[in-house]
Amino acid sequence: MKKEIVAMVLAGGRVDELSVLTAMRPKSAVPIWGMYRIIDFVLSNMMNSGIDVVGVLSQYRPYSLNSHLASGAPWDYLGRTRELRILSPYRGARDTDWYRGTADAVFQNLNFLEHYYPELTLIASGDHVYAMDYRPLIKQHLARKAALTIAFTPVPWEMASLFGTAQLDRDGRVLVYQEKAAKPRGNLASMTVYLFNTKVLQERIRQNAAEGRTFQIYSEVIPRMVSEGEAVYGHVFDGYWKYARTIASYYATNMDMLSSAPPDLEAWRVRTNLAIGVAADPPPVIVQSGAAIAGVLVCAGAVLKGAVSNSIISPGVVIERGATVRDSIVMHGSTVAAGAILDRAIVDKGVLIGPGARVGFGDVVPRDAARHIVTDGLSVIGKGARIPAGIVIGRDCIIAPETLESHFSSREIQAGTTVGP
Amino acid sequence: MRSARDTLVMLLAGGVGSRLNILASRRAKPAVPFGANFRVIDFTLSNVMHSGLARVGLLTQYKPFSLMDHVGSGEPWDLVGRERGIKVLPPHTGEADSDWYKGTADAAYQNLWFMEDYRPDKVLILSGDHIYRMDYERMIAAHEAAGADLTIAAMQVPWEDAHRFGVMVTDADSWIVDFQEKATNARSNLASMGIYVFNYRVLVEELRRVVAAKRGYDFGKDVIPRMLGSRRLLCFPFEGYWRDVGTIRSFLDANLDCLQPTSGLDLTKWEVCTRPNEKGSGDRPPVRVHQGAVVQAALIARGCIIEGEVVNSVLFSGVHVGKGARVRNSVIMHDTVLGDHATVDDAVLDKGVEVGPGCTLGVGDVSVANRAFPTHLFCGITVIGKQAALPAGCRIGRNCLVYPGVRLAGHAAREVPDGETVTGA
Repeated sequence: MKKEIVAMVLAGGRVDELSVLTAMRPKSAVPIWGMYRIIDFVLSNMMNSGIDVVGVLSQYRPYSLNSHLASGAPWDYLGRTRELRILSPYRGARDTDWYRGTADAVFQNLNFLEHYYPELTLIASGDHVYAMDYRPLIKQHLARKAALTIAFTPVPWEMASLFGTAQLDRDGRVLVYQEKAAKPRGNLASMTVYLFNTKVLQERIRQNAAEGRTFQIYSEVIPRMVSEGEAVYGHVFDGYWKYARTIASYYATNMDMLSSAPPDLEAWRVRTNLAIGVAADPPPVIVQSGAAIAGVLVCAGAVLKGAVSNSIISPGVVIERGATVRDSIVMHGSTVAAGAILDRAIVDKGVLIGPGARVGFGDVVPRDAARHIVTDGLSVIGKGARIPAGIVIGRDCIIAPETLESHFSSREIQAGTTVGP
Repeated sequence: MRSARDTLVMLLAGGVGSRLNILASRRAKPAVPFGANFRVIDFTLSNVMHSGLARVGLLTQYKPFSLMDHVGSGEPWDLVGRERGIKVLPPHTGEADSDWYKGTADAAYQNLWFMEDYRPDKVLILSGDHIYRMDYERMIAAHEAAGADLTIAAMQVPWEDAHRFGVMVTDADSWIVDFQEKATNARSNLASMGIYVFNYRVLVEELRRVVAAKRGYDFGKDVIPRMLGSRRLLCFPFEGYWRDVGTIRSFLDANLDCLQPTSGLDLTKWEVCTRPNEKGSGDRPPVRVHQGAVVQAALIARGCIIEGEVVNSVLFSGVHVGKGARVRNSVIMHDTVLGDHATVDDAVLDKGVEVGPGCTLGVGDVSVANRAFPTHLFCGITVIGKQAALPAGCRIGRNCLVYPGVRLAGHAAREVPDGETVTGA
């Protein structure tokens, strides 16, 4: 079946910097803003841009991502001519490998593209938080007769070395493209949104599969196209664009929703999969008398009986009477028992904070930089962990997923400690 | 899990709800929004689902559109599948019967053809008008164990309310020995909840004997009393929360019961299912409660923004409570906006109402009943219809009624006194 454009989402990445949040799921499946997952934004952008066939490239612990994507119906990808397909690694006659990189992932799924033989293929990362209409980019791509158009967004100069950056000429043609250069010549950062002419993509991806070393689009395919003089253009986007590269930036992006000018999610038309429970739909937010709630983003199915301020509360969270939650993120189905205190904590799903426990106590301690985990005074509690009653956990601590009460050897966990089974 | 061959459900959802006044003027009573997230019929449909029943006939008659939209194919209640389903049964003309449903039994009689398709062993007859949580499986099992022809669910009501119900007298084994429908001198306060398990064969015979013979058209009034003595009628006692939300007072009270864990209405335990994405409500973002807001005892749906104060109130999706605004003891439906410093007490505001900045609503003399509808609005509650607009600074008293779509103008733009109705005409 012929389609003008088909999209592929790069959703497989595990990012170590996100610590225990990505222990059980790829970054694209990490919950954000209470009820969303990071991949919702790119999928909603595609839906709102009229792209109706999407393949999701995923290989790292895909269970939670796959159940979230389901049939694609939440993004209207269910229908005779619409499709959302999860493209997992497979064993073929020759290829017996896992995806070696983004270019390799596309290479191994060229048959998905060939099924639709689209003129254009949009490849976008599932790891970013933004609302973008891709249609102006597509229009520019066609007007310039480009082979590849990359979306860029300006970032502060001191951040530019973290990204692929480019310099563009007046027509938007990419003059220079540098991948994570120590001293970049431009501060336009790649958003990891690539619009290819499909023919060019097929050719370049096959070439990369034969000759590549990193098998990455950003570090091999794009630099080579630029250096060989292909028509590579940039499209500049200057709206809200955030990422969750580290625990600190994940936290900051979450907290943007509590700022005085939060992103307008209704205007963004962001969709998510609401099929949360099997037994029942979550009831509305329940605030009992005696609760003290201010500066809070809170989702259906939460029950608030204690004090909650400057925090993000996901569906099904219970904050018991006498508990205090401040400057924290509490995900689906977690319970904060009576008298417990959370202060700058990120609590993954299904966690029990025991009565009178205290998370985020005392001074901020910088962690060992060699581990690349900057927790910025934040303590992170992994999925399904059970925090014993009355325990005191310092700042910058990490509690591994499924840690039980019996795994804690002390009543006081020093700042900067990791506890796990 | 009971198949349609075992027990078929007939859900009567045609209720007019006239005492709900403008809340039910454009929707059937089962489709009236309830509990910030739900519609009244969700409670019955969720009971059906949790009782393991799979095949439902939905009998509609009065303004069924929002109800049909809401029920759709029934997938929110797990009613889609090879052996499962919900079928809308609107009134229809036939060879002999060309009329609207004349009563509950007539509605069942006119849809005997639907039941005949399944030839069930038993038929469970329900109404979609009530807020309760009940396991029908236990009732069906009791019916089977006793070998009854008809089992009626019943609960104790206050004696002074008994005249509003069908009441029954039972013997020591719960067999019904007497039944009176809405009698002035009720001999019992054990009231029928309008929930019946019939043996299908008995139902067919009784409908032919009574409805086909044009002796009467109502289960409570006509069919059940004629079965006394000749059939085995069992009472199935129910204890727990059960409300008919047929009046504005009972509608507001039952909504506020959701906020009191001791009321017996516990949404955290009842597992009520709804169509979560109806009209895009599921796409709404989470609730935002601003710094400086006060929220005490509240039920708040998706997409609400709260800058002011919300106490003992139920807010449907997309409600905005402005800075310094205050809502108490009220139900505020979807997308209604309260301007800064507006106050709302003891009121029901339908969808999309605009309350201008500084309005006061529900302040005045409780004892002045509504002049146009003294039996609907007499206990202090003010009701504002869908998409009405109240200009900045206007004062609206108690027991007032503002019709849907009315933009208050002239004198009413400044004040609507206690007991007044503004129809816009």
